[in-house]
Amino acid sequence: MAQYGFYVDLNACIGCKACQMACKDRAGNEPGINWRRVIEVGGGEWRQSGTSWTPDIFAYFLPTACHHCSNPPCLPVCPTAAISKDDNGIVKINVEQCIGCHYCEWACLWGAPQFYEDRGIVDKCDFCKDIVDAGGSPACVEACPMRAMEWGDIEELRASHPGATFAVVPLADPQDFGPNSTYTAHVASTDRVGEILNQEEI
Amino acid sequence: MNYPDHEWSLIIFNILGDLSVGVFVALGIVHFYAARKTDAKQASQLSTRALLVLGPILVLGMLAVLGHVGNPERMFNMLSNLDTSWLAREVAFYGAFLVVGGVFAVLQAITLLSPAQQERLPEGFRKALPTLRPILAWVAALLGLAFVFSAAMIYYDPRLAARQTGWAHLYTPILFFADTGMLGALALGVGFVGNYLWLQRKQKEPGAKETLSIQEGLLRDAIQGASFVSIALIGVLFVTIPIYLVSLGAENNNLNEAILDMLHTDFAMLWFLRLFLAFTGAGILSAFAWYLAVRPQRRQRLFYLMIVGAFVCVLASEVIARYLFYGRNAVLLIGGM
Ligand code: SF4
Ligand code: SF4
Repeated sequence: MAQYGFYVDLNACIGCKACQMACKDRAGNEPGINWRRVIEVGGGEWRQSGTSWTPDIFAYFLPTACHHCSNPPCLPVCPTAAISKDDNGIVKINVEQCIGCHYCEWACLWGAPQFYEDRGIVDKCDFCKDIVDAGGSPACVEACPMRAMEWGDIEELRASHPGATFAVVPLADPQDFGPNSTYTAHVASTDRVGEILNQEEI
Repeated sequence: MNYPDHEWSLIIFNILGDLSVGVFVALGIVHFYAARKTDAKQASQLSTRALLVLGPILVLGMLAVLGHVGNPERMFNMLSNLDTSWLAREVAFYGAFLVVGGVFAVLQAITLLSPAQQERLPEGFRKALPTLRPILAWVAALLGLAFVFSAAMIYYDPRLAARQTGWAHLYTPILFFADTGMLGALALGVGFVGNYLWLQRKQKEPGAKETLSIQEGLLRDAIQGASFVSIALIGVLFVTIPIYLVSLGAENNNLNEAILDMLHTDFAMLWFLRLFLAFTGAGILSAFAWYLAVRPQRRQRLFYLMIVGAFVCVLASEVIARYLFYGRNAVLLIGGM
């Protein structure tokens, strides 16, 4: 069994959110629902040298979505057995089966499953399963003008990007869930910890 | 982040569910005791009407929980994943408790019929009743307790532990079971008072005087038991809560700090009210009720008032407790992101 995943080079990402929009477009999601989100992270302070103060600040962007975990906590807790993991490791919600109980939202550490008020169900990133199964690439990866994103077998992605990691601020510690996204951390974040700047947007 | 505010339906569902299970189990104990002390007929006079009130309460709880889910008409889908989902198990046990408990209540209600009416039932059925009833009662009680356990496990589930909502702590099952016990015992006390007052109004019927004095004795015994249970459980809660808060502090991560912080700031007033009401209801008023129950002939009105007051305080306290319980989740969703 393969395990698909995403890779993003955070040094290349300019935060244009084309991936987020391409995803919304393909999934037909209304405002407020984002399967892929671009988190803005930043920090820094004023520094004094002599009599002058200069800002010493940093910022970077972090595109994130469902990580199609190897051991997804959302899956076993679902009472309707609506969540499944396919041969490519894609974790998908069957919206015909889902009753909209929110339990998977509680289980996911990264806020991937999202509730649709009008339809009374929960849905999330499905790795563009239909496109990928037909030989294409996920909409987000296709849309990135900086070519910052890649998709494929997660082990191959990790092998071709030494140093890539999931340990980037502000993603929650994955415990033993095995999220299958990996990132080349932004250079500014190696010695400094930022905070989320666009909370309302994500 | 679109996080809907559906928690009220969960609060109502859990409280009504726990209360019903508590009342059912307490009724079983009281009935057993009353049947030994007097006879089956008196015991049934005491407990059957209270039992019949549970049905509507449980149905109400079910309607409430359907307000939480997005697609209520698909509710039977919720039984699809009994293998791994505590939520599916909770729903299954709740439904089974409702059905088995309902059948039991109907069989029990037969005792309220007049002997002539009972004569008309098929002979074999009447003969089977004495064996059937206790079996159903036991099965229903176990199903009910299994429901409370699964409800607690939904939050206690190690797969949710990572979210650090402060749910994966022994406090969760203790809260759920203490809730069941206290609400059950006190609600039953209120039910018995109501039942007794109702019997009092029908005094003119033959044999009523005698029944009434036996019933009064049973009522006082039952209330002694109920107040004792609620005092004991509030003791357990008041030992658990500090341990819980200390352990949250000791784990030393941002999210636990956020919970503690909330209890000090936004939720401070609610938190205080919760503890105050629990202490007043399950502690002070229950103790008073107990005091008056062991001294017959004294202050009837006040006696009834104490039990009703204790129940109202505990109910209000539990509503706040559950509100705070879910409040922790809403705040921390952002932290997890
Ligand atoms: S990221 Fe969340 S929704 Fe996606 S598989 Fe993991 S736990 Fe499930
Ligand atoms: S919201 Fe839907 S997919 Fe999520 S746990 Fe409930 S039934 Fe399953």
